[in-house]
Amino acid sequence: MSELKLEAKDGIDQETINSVKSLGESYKYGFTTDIDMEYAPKGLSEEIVKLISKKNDEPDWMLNWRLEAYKRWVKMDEPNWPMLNYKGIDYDDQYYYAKPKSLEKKPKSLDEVEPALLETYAKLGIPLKEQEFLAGVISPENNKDTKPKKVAVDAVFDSVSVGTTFKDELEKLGIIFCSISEAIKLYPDLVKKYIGTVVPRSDNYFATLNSAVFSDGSFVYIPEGVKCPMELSTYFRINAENTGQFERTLIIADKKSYVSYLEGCTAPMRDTHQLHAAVVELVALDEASIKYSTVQNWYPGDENGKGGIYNFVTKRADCRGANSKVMWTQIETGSAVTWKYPSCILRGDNSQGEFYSVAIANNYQQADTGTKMIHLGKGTRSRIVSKGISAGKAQNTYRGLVNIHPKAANSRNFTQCDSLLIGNKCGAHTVPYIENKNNSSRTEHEATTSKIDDDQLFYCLQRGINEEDAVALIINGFCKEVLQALPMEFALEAQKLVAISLEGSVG
Amino acid sequence: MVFENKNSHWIDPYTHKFKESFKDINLLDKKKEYWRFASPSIWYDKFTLKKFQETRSSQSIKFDVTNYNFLRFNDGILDTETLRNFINKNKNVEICSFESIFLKKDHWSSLKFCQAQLNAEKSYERPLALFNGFNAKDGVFIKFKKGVKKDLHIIYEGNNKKNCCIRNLFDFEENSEIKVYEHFYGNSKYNVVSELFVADNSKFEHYKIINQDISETVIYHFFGNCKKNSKVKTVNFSFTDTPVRNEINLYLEGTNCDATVASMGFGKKESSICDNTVFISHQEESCKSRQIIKNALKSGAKAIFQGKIFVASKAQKTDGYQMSNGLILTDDCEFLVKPELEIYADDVVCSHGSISGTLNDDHLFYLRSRGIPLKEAQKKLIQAFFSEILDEVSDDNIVYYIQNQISEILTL
Repeated sequence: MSELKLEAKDGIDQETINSVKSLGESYKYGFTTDIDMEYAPKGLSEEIVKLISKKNDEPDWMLNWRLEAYKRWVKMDEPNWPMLNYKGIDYDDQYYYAKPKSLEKKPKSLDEVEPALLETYAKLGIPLKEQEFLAGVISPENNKDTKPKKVAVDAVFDSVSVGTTFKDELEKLGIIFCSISEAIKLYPDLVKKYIGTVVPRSDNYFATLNSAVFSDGSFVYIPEGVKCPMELSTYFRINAENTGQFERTLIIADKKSYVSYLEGCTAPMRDTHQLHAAVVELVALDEASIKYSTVQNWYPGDENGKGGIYNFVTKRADCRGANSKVMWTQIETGSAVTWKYPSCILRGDNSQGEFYSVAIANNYQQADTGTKMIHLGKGTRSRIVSKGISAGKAQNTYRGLVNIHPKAANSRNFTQCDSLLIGNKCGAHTVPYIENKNNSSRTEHEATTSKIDDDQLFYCLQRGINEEDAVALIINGFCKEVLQALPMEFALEAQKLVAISLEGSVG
Repeated sequence: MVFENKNSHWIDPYTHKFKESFKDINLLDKKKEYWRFASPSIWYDKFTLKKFQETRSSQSIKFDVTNYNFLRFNDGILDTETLRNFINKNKNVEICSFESIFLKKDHWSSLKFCQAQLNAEKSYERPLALFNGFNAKDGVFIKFKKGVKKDLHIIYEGNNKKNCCIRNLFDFEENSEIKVYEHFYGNSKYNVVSELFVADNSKFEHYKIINQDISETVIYHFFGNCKKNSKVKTVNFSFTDTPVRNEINLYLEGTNCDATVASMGFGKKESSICDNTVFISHQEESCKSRQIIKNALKSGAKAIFQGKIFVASKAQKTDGYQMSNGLILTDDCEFLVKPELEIYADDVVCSHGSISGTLNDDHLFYLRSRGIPLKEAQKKLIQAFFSEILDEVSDDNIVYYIQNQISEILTL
């Protein structure tokens, strides 16, 4: 790693250039896996909700919770305020539940999982066998002295969780890391206590839909005083056609605990749009700290805007305890339409929320993304760094809210949102809301929109770097602040993604 | 309503249109994004309810206009004597009252009337301006001919608790250089719409002073269309403790336009709401726009800024800047802002910033360590906070006048 650092000092990050060059194809996760699937009938009704609940073998309280959400959803209207322009979603032409047939009976260990499934994850570069490090990210030679890095993975394929690694080792520490369907059965009290307390059942249209039909997702509980020794990670994969994916993630960090959680998403290339509506709830109690990183790489559709995922996600963290901390980092490169505002409710005194985001929209992609920081406790602090890049005919919007309540004395906010435009057919928009309601708090907001600096580009070209590589290089620099906030495992992948997403957008 | 007694006139379709669009949609629906920070009823109810404040909030020293060109509105009606004086003194200016345009069939204003407003309404409706559209009783229509250089003060006074809907139109021919100062006094309610047509190479400066003794409300809509190489500056000073809505819409339709919007407000009571809603649309290349909003807030006052820079895809080389600062002096105040950018061109430099907070402790400490008492130091810092807005004013008399107003408030 030291070698890489040295080169970076010279101003040109050779690694970046190499990784850009080595990636020929534009969306390499677009393959499909032929697996016998079991579907619930198309469309959404009370029966489907009951069926999903039954398939997951859920207790009555969970079913009632879902049905209540469904009843609310039927009465709600799809929001039309985002700067997004997409064909209406036909909610009756979707499958709300799809499960590989081989998972009919829950496999006891990964050895029992169908090889085709494991292959899918292998192709995506995700180790489902317990591995000491992620191949290609940290080479063993450079890390002889350091302890091998471990990552526990929960893999979700269409509607169900395939398997979770390192479970035993985590259990020793009292950490619960499993799929949410398991958690509902095994830890009903914990789930009951926290589910829907951060994102209420009928919070918004898509969260309500999710509450009714969510099929799986991850559940994490870190007990008091435990620092999770490895990164926890979930990989979501949509495979089946016309299937909506609705996962629900719930992470609870008890007092004085720490966890870093990674989330990755991919989907095959298909001509039709697919719906993804997830809900993520984080709860941080006193002095707990949660780091949540996402690399969102759903299929963005082809260069003519055909196909792609509609990504409507509600993510919210509740810093309930004093001195708690939540950090959201996201790299948004995929999806035809993204609607996503990871937020922090800073309820505990001196709690802290951070949001780092790179949103890249190319071709016909549209992204309306940002964050909300709601300061309720005294001495709360938040920091927002958002970088939006638009290319092709894409529209990229930052929409953020900073709200400092009258009682949140001595709070601080800093927001920086920068947009970069490549080409004159795309758009970059900034819609921040800043509401300061007391005199001891301070908010600062700055935003710029510009194109790639001609001088920087000229400098690179003059050094013999071709235009496309030069643009990738400059953009990597533009996003650096956010990329640096990512855990090591993701940083390189994210860097490559940034380059791929913009391929073909120059000249 | 005013026009019903007249025979049919070219103005009628507009009135009708405004009335219909106002009726058609539920424009005053407070759930609308347009009303996010302040309910429309704050302003609208003032015009529908007959209630007036019993007591005058405070007296303010009036700006002495005797040595200037000036026009006066008494309770929303143009004082014809000031109009005659103005006509006698000034050549190369065509001026008439809103009433008199009915007398002429092909009045020059017929081609421009309402065009700037309708242009702006294309992006979204401004309900209070529509309301003005079918309620306006008077106003002044001025055309400044080629190359004219002039200053003009317009005084809005009224002590008779009246609803004043006023509609002005300013038309500038090429190479003119005009400064217009508008002064608001009294216990009437004001809803003013000014339309502005700035021709090539013209320069227009506009200052609006809403004085302390305004006891009801001022709603001001400013719709401007700017042509090639024109320069427009509009500065708003608000000292009243009543709701003020200052809405600026500028369309930069020619290349190399330069637009500046500045606003300062000093709210000292809970009843004080200073709302600046600014929309600047860059339609052509190489235009520049600047927005500077500064609000000091005390004892429950509220300030709102909703600003938007829109850059069309052909408006390359745009330079856009937006800055909103809130100085929150006591705990119960609110500073609510939404500075928006909507950009469809790639070769642009647009930036916005917003800072809110209280007086800087270090600055206070510095001044006190120099022997300046706390109260005095606070005053100095508040004055310094506003200085950026005062820098925009070219007339020294006005600068002194504003400075006096600020210090008067600070001694309260």
